[in-house]
Parts: sequence; C-alpha cells; structure tokens
Amino acid sequence: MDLSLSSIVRICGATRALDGASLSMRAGRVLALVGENGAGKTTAIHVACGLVAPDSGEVRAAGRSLPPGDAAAAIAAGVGVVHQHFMLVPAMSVADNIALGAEPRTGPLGLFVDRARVRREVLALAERHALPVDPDARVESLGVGERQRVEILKVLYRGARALLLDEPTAVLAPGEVDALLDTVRALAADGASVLFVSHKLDEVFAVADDIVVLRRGRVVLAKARADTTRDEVANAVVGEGHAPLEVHARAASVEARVALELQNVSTEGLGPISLRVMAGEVVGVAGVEGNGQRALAELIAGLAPVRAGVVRFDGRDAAGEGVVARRRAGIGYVPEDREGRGLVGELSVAENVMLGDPEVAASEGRFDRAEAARRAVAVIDRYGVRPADPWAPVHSLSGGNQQKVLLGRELARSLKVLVVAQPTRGVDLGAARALHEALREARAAGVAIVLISSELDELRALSDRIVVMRRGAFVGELRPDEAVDARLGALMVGGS
Amino acid sequence: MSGLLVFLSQVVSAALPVALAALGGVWSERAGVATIALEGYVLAGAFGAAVAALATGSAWVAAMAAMALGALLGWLFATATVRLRANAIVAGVAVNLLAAAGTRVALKVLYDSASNSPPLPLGASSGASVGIAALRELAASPALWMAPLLGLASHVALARSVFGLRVTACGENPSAARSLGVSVERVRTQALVLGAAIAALGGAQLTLHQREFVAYMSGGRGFLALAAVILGRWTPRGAIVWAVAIGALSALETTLAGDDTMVPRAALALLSPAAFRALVQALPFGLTLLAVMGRLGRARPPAALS
Amino acid sequence: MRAAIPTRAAVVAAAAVLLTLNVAVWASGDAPASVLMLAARGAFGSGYGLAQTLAKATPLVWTGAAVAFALRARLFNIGAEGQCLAGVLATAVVGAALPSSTPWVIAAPLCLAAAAFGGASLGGFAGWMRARLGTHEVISTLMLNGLVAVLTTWLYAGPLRVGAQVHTRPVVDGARLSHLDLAVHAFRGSALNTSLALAVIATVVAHLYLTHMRGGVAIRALGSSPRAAEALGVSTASTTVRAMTISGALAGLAGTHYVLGVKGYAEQGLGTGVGFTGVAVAMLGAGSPWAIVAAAVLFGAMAQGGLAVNARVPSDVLSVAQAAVILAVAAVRANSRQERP
Repeated sequence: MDLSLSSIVRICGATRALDGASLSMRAGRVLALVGENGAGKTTAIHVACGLVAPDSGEVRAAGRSLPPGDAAAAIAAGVGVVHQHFMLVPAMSVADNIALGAEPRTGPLGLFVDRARVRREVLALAERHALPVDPDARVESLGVGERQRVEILKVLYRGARALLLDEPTAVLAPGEVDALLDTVRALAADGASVLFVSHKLDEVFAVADDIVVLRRGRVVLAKARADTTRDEVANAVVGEGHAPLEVHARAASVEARVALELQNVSTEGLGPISLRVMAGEVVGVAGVEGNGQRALAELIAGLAPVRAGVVRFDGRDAAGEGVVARRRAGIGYVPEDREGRGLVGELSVAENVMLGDPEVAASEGRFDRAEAARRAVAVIDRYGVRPADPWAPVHSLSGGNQQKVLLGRELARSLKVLVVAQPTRGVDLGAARALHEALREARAAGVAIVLISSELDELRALSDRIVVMRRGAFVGELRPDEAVDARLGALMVGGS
Repeated sequence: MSGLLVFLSQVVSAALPVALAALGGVWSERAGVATIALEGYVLAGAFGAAVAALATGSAWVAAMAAMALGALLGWLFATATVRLRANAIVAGVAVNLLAAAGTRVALKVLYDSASNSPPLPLGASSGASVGIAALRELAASPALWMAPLLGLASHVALARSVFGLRVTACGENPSAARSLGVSVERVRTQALVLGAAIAALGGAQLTLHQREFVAYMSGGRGFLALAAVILGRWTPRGAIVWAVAIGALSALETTLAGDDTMVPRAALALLSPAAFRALVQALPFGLTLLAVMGRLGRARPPAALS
Repeated sequence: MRAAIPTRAAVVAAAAVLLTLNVAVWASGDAPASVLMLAARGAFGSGYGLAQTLAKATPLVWTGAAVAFALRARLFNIGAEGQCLAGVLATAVVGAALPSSTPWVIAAPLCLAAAAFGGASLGGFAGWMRARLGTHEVISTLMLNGLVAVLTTWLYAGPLRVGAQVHTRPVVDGARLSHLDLAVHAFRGSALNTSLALAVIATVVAHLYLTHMRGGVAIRALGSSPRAAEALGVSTASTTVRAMTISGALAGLAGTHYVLGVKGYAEQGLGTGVGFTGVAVAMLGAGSPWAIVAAAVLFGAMAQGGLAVNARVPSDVLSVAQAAVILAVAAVRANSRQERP
C-alpha cells in the first residue's frame, strides 16, 4: 500500500520537529529514513500513524487522505508501527500479545478469546513471512530479536500493508540484524510498503530501494538507492557545506601525566574499549546517539559496574570504586539527562551545589545553609546564572541556567577528570559560549575532560583529539583539523 | 462427628467473606490498581445485605443488594483513581472511612441505632452448636453457592476471556494495551467495579451468618483478604486457597477460645493458650510478610501495581 | 507555584466538607446551616470544646507528620497505624516498669524514647525491606499493622493485664504529661495535654531536619530525583531506611498522647484509626509543618463537632465528610502534579 506524507509541519514548543517534510512510501518498496537524533524521524512516524496531528500537511494512505491524529483510522487503513521501545506485555504469551485489542471471539456471547484461531493465524503469518515464533511462549522468556518478531507479527496480524519500523536494528545483535533485513525485503516483496529508520548506512544500503535524509525537520536528500552513494548520504546526514571551522589554537596544557586510563573495559552496552586521557587534555567523543556514549560516561562516573578490564585514575586502580569514592578522588560528571541524572529538580540551586560535595552528600551532620548559599552565589556570579537566587528551585530555571549550575557545581570542586555529555544541548547561544569558556579554563587548569557531544562543531572547537563511537566501540580517532564532516560522518554511520 | 461438622461449617463461614473479598481483590489488583479498599467493600456489602434482608426477608435479595452497594463504592473508587488519577492508597483509605462512617450514619437514620441493625427476619441463628443445623444454616446462604461459582468464573474469565486478557494487559503494561486501542480507563473501571461487587458479597455472608449488621463488623477481613491475594500470587485459585487456610486458622482460633483443652499439648509447653491463639491469628500477616520478602518463593505482583 | 497547591487543596477540602455535610444533614431531615453552626460551636465555641478539638488533633499531628515525612522520600508509610500502636505499647511498658519514685526528668524522656523506638523499629524494618529486598512499603507496613494489632490485643488481654482490669499497669507519675487545664482554666475537664506541644515541636523539627541536616536533604533529594541523588553519591538504601525510621518514630510518639497524656496506661483500641487518618492529614498538609498542624486541627474539629451535633444528626456524618475531603484532595493533588513540567 502506498503511504505518503506531504509538506508536514509539526511544531513542538519552540522548535519545528518537522518543517515541510514530504515522503512517499510505495507498495513493494523499502524507504529508508536516515538522520541524526532530533532530525524528526520519530515525529514523522508518529504523524504517519496518527499518534500526533501535524500542524499542517496531509497523510494519504492508498490515495485517500487520513484524518489527522486519529490512530484508530490509521490502523484501520492498514498503517502499522513497530515502536523503538517495544510495547509488549512480558507476562503474557506471544499469541495473546499479538491478539490483544483485536481478539477473535468465540463461545457464548463471544466472551472468550478464540486462542486456537489466534494460534493458527499467528503460525500462518509466521510461516509466510519467515518470522519464527512460538505462540505459546511467554514474552518475558524471549530475547530481543524474538520480541521484535512478535512486534512485527502484531502489526501484520492487524492487516497492515504499510509498515513503519522505528530504528528496528538499534536493539539487535549483528546476527539478528541480517535476519531482520531479510524480513524487511520479504515484506516488500510481498507487496507491503516499508519505512525503515536507521542511522547505519550499511544496513540502509543493504535493504532500501529509496533513501530520504532528514535534517532539522527538512528533507535534505531523497533519491533511489541506485542513484546515490554512501558518501553523499553521510554528508547529507551531518550537513555538508559547513564552512571549515576555525580551530582554536591549543594552549600547551596537555601534560605528560595520564589522568584517566581505560584498558579493555566493558560494561552493559559498551566495549571492550581502551582510552587514555592526559591531564589537561580534552578528548571529544563523536557518534550517533545510542552507540554506547552513555555507558562510557556512567562507567567513568562510577555509576555503571565494570564488567571486565582496568580503570585507572592517576595510575591508581579504581575499577571497584563506587560513585562516592570516585567523586572524592576528583571525578566530575555532567550527564546528558540534566534534570533526571544531574540535578535534583525540587531542591534549590544552593542545595544542589552543596550536594555536589561528596562529603556532604554521603555523610552525616549539619547541612550548612550559609555555606551552601556562599558556594551557590559563587557559581551564580561566575557563570551568570539567572535568576541570581541561590534558593530558587532548580526546576524553575531555564535549561541553559540549569546547565550552568550543573557544570559550575562540578567545576567548583578540584577535579582531576570531568565527563561532560551534551553540554550545550537546548542551551541558548550566550550560555553555550559561557559553558565552552568554562570547559577551556578547566582544561587549562589541568583537568582531563571527556566531552561527549553530537554537535560536531563543538567537538572540533574544544577537543585535542576526537574519537568516534559506534556500537559500543571506538571505530576511529581524528585530530580536530582532520575531522571534517565527511570523515566523521562516514565513521559515525559506517559509510565507506 | 458433630464436632467435626461444626468445625467444618465454622471454617467455611469464616473463609467465605475472606475468600470473596480476596477474589474481588484479585480482579482489581490484576487490573493494576492497589486495593486496600477491600475492607470498605466488605463493610458496605454487609450493610447493604442487612437493609435488603430487613426489607424483603430474602437472603438472595440481600446478596444482590450487597453486590450493588459494593459496585457503587467500587465505581466511586474507580472514578477517583482511574479517571481522576488520585493515589490508590489514599483513595482506599477514604473509601474505608466512608464505608465505616457511612454505614453508621445510615444505621442511625434507618434503624435509630449506633451499633447494630435489628435482627434479620431469616430465622434465629442456631449458634451453630449442632452439626446438622450448622450445615443447614450454611446451605441457606447465597454466598456459599455463589463463591465457588464466582471463583471458577473468575479463573476462567481471567485465563480465557477477552475481558480477562485485557485486564491482565492493563495490569502488566497499560501503555502496550493503549497502543493497541484498548481503553485502559474503561477496562480498569470495569474490573474495579466487578471486584468491589464480589468483595461486597463477602460482607453479605457476614451479615447473613450473624443475622444482624454490627458497626465495623468487617473487622480487618479486607486486609486479611489482601494477604490472601498476595499469598495466592494474584490468582483466583491461589487467593481462594489461602482464604480457606485463613478461614481454617480463624475457626481454629474460635474453637480454641471456647475450649483451651484443644490446644496441642506440645504447644502448651511453650505458650499459654491465649498466646497460641494470638500466634494463629498472626500467621496470615507473618506468612504474607515472608512471601513479599521473597522467602516463600517468588511473588511477583502485576507490573503496573503502584 | 508551590503555594498554589495547598491553597487549592484547602478550597477543595472546604467545598467537600460543606457539600457532604449539607447533603448528609439534609438527608437525615435536619437543617444543614444550623447543624453546621452547632458543630462549629461545639468544636471551637467554648474553652472545653476547643481543648477537646486540640486533644483529638494531637495524635493526628504526630501521624500526619509521620506520613508526610516519609512522603518527602516518596515512600508511602501506610503503617503509621501499627507504628502508633507499637508506640502505645512500648511507652506503657517502659512507663510501668520504672520505679515509682523515678523523677520526671528521667521518666518522661525515657517514655518518649520508648514510644519513638516502638514506632521506629517497625518503620525502620519496612524501610530495610524496601531498600534490601525491594518489598513495597505499602504491603509490608499493612502486614505489620495486622501483626501489631494481634500482638497488642493478646498482650492487653493477657500478660500485661492488671487483675480484673482490661488495661496495663499504670505508668509512674513522673512520666505523665501535664494536662493543659492546669494552666488554662477554660480547658477544664479536657484531655488536652503537653503531647500536643511536643507534636507541634516535632513536626517543625522534622521539617527543619529536612532542610538543615545532610541526612534530611538527602531524603528530599531521593524523593525528588532518585537517579540524580544516586549520581551525587547519596545512598539510596540508608536514606530509605532513615526516612522510614524517623517516620515510624513520629507515628510511635502519638502513643504518648494516649498513655502519658490521657489514660496513664495502655488498653485495647487506643490509637486505632489515627494512623490512617494521618494519611489524610499528610495529604492535606504536605509541604509545610503548619499546614500539617492545621489539617490535624481540622480533622480534630470535625471529630469534636460531630459529638456536639450527635443529638440531632449522627456524629459519623462528620467522618463521611472527612472521607469526601480525602478523595477530593487526592484527586486535586494528582491533577495539579500533572500540570507541572
């Protein structure tokens, strides 16, 4: 079935998640939708399946216009979505999960689920689409790949002829990816239209007939696979034609002392990886989000267990140390999840700054409010936090001011190592400049910094070298001056 | 022989209210809503049964009235928790208070008494001292016949019906259910109202057995029922089995209270008869604590339960 | 914005009371306005009535503060009921065991500590179960309520009974808390005692603990964003145990009102129900110690006012109104939370 989105605008708060984007899925073809996080891919899927209504534009299924924001109408028209986060009931069987909400009925008054029929139909669908599942197995006993097959069967069971797969390979192991790609091809061969969202160009080029690249809510490339190349797509993803950035002259701050050393370290979703960061050095970490950056940050901060390998700070083995010991040893952490992981929203700026001191957070005694206010005022003055009120609850601050408090809190201690993730996301230009300045000063003071960012300009402007992460491993390392978009993009998405 | 019959009938009449309340609890907790309101449902059911029995003289009408009043209270609880999203624990406290105070207000208004209703026109209670009479009395109770029926129906419905499947899905992963077009609000409301009606039937059994309504007569049976729900791992069968066990303990306790010579000789070496009875009473709570501590196998509540 | 929620809750609570009372009184064939006036006069109109209102509010201040304290760590201490009973038991046992010549400077603190310990041990145990075994505190504290009820019933009827009486041996005179009618003549005959002052002080101190001690700030951090608290090095386990222990201690101290203040001994039924009403008080007064005291006084006034109108309408009408207040406020709170970003 053909499914098309034309000139969709969808405004979320101050940003245009989709800004006049059009795409067209055709029966029997696989359309790959490529783009960085925040480019508008998931919003496009939500508009297509009626979960949200666009502010303008139209969705057409098989030539007929769909009512905006009507999920039931979309399902009835044959649109099916496999969400990135599975929507399964782990305690129920595969067959029950598939039938839920569309149960065939039997027995008196149609009270009962016709399980025999569900079973039969599931097995038939599974057979036809080569998606082997055990209809009687409980979902909680299944692996990720099997769960995804159940999700696809759920959609097919409802008669979907246009399938939207939101980053279906993100959760899969390499072997499972190949099987999924075969399934996608087979579905298209069977006459369905498939939208396949992915960051990974090797998958995209293996499966797609057509490729659309979204950047900042706009379609920046739409071509048949045969008419484009990996380099062209990679460039479109990260934004070709950037003026080469002026690279800051680096102060000779890098010392000959290794502040942080990871040797063949692994944890959930990461590694094994090795990395050395010298005192006074900034190592930038590039990569499409969800490729192990968070695990890396949490591992260094002491919040993810070290499964194997060696972690050293200043040459001292610290693999077994928890977060308190790490913070006492001078490890700082500015997480990407500012309000959930970084700051305590209902507490004041002063309390948050004071709790940054591990002696306060992890010990008994009086909470010195005067001292807390003093420290908070120091952060407020130093970074220009607004409102300049140490007792304002943190959740009442804007994102930029929260970030200043968070970074200021960490830099107020004498740090040896700092892990920063997405320091300027959602932050206005002025605040971003101040935050960058603070990071440069920390480097000059001899702090070893691991900077995780999806802003390539930011990485180039601050880093002494840039490593690229993909699938939980480092796949390349570049100097800032050689880290042009094309090379970074190719490493990030696995182009040639 | 007669003694055994009396004991058995005591077990059944002690187990019935707890079993029905627990069955009601299974329905609402399986839908993902914590239900400490069981106590209130039992009390409301007991009162509704008294009013209807006094008005009509029919035990069956009394049972129906109890279920209707319970359903009303369950609907109120569902409106607060499901529609208005009030905290289920707080709303449960309110429903329990409402039932306790509301029945007392109605007692005063209807029967001008602060503590109990007039005796029900169902024939005097025999005091269950004669075996056959005790059994005959029990057999006249609608709850006796409806409890196994409701238990079986609940078991089958949860395991095989469309409604049961949806209730389970709403209790385990409401967003998955919602993504498939299931109205979580409606399913939960239906399950809560159904559960409340069943629990209230347990209250009717109390009234019909005692031949009168007494203020606060639920006496913690709703909380015992909650224990049975947990010990029975949120299944109708498990809940009923544990409710019968709790009923047996309670009947044992009553028997011991009447006759200390029945306390096992071995226990007497360590405990006084009163202490032994207290121990018997404490068992359901203690066992439930052990169960939720993971010391009695795995007790996994429905995932969406707060 | 934080102030807006209690205000709205108060308005809704008042509306719920008025509405329910009107309906209930009208249904029982009386004139709502005059009954309401009578209730208000009974609760506040005389020195004795006011004192009785405050006396009924005293245990509710304790349990309300207890439940509210645990809520700051986002823990639901529904076990204030059993913790209060444990406080009654502990303080009665210790108070009766002291030599009769024990001076009050020793007896009173010991008995207060016993009440606190009785409640704290139960609360702390539930906190430990939550922290170490993942047992939800609602289930564990409900079951502990049941256990304590059985235990105290047995003890009061058996081992701790004095002769033919159905209560425990009286506590030593030195442990008794003064009745306030000694100081204020208008309060004569009422049960109001210094436990109220202690409760108000404890509520304020508990609030200050949350802002002025490291352990208290950690409790609020855990309640607000558990993941951020973890990343800062706050121990989830010990903070959970601490919050439940202190909450339990406050609930246990409600026992001092009954044993050291009113009765001088423990008996079956003392303190029953105040734990659950404490949940309502905490719901209504969350966030400020004065709001907790005010909510407790409101519930105390409804109980006392109910007695005053008992001749014309059943006093339980006021309890029905309490239930309506709880439901209304719970719904309002749920929906104001949703508005927050």
